[in-house]
Amino acid sequence: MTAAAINSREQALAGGLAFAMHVLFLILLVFGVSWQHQQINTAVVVDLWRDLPVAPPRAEAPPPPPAVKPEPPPPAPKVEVKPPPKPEPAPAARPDIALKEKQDKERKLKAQAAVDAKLRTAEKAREEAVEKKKRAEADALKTKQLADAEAKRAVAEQEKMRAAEAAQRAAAQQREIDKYMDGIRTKVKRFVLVPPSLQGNPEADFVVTLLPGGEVLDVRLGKSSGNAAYDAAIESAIRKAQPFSVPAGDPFQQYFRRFTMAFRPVQ
Amino acid sequence: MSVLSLITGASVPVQLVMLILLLSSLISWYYIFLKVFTLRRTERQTAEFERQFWSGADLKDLFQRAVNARDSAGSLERIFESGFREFTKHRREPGVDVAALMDSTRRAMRATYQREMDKLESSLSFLATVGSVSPYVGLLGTVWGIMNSFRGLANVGQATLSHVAPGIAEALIATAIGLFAAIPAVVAYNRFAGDVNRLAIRFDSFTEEFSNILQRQVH
Repeated sequence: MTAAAINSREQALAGGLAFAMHVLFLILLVFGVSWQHQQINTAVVVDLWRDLPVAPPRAEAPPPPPAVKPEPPPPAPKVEVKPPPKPEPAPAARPDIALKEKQDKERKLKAQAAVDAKLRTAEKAREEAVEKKKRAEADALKTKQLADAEAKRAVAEQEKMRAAEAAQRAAAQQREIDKYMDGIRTKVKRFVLVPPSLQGNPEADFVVTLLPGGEVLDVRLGKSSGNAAYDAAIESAIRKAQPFSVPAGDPFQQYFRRFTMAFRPVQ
Repeated sequence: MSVLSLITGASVPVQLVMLILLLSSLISWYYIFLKVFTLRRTERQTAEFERQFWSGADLKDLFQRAVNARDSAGSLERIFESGFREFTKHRREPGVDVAALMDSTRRAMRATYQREMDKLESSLSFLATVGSVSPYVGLLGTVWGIMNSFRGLANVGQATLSHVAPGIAEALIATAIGLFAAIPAVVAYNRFAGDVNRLAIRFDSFTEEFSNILQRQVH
């Protein structure tokens, strides 16, 4: 290879390398600095708690009250109605018919009494069984009512806790939104050039529409401050200050898609 | 606030300064790479020729080879070639004085040596200039930008840091670019100056030794 060819090849190579070097440095510079920027934005998120938050209630239903199975009523004791004892064979005819009759009557009465007694005990047993059953049923009802009340109370408590939690969450979200709003306001204020002709501390309202990345889509004057120069200064400041840091997703759609912001020269 | 917005937001003189600095940085990097290639190649060729020379090859053979491959010959080979050419030319003349013969040989070698050194040292001065001047150029851009930003501040009733900060950041970019151009240039200049110096010493000592060898041949 001749010296001239080597030289031209080396020159081209050196030129390309020098160019690549600069592109590389530019990329490093741009990404490095924007990385630092991101870092600053996320570094200031601090939550101060005065006391520890209440532990959220377990999202668990209270254990169901032990099912009280009503005991089956004891089977009614079998009442055996014994047939009345067989009448004894008529004793040998005796002359004392009256006595015999009397004896007969007595025996009959006795048998009747026995039958009656038996019937009575059976009745009693049946009544007792019914009573027992009734008592068991009442007991079951009572425990069931108790369990119901307990469950109701637990549910109410849970609901209360959930409501408290929701309130807490809403407050946290509100704080978050306020923080973002403050950030936007501070950023805008940095770009506002207050015209020297401004008198007093008038307020100007602006309706701002943002894109999800925090870019400003539209700025409209809601309520003028009475000083057109100040209004214009704020509007151009809002446009210059973009992009704003805004939350992503649902909170953005809800609070930052379109919002009204009031500005005063002195807050 | 990215770096690009800082650059595009700067005032025209500052942007001009940045452009100059960027160009000088590009050119200095181009020379840096070029010098790296050239010096490495020269070093390799010098080592190769020294090896051939001291391995006891015939001087006429070496000379023939140097003449044939003139295009791709290294600096040391060229010095050898010019010296040997002068020597053989004068030696054939009848009744030549040894001192005069050696003087003219040495002069021929010195001339080639200086030409080669000039080639090696070329564009080193550019690196030195960029290394020493571009911080000042960047500083000029910064001072200009800060002057502007303070002048703008005079029109604002209440000055806060947020009014001044963007202007100063824009201005400081110019110094950053100046330093970015200067640092590699200075480092490369020092490195290359050292390399060229070492090559020069090698060439010099070779010239002396070669003169001795030629002088011995005359007797």
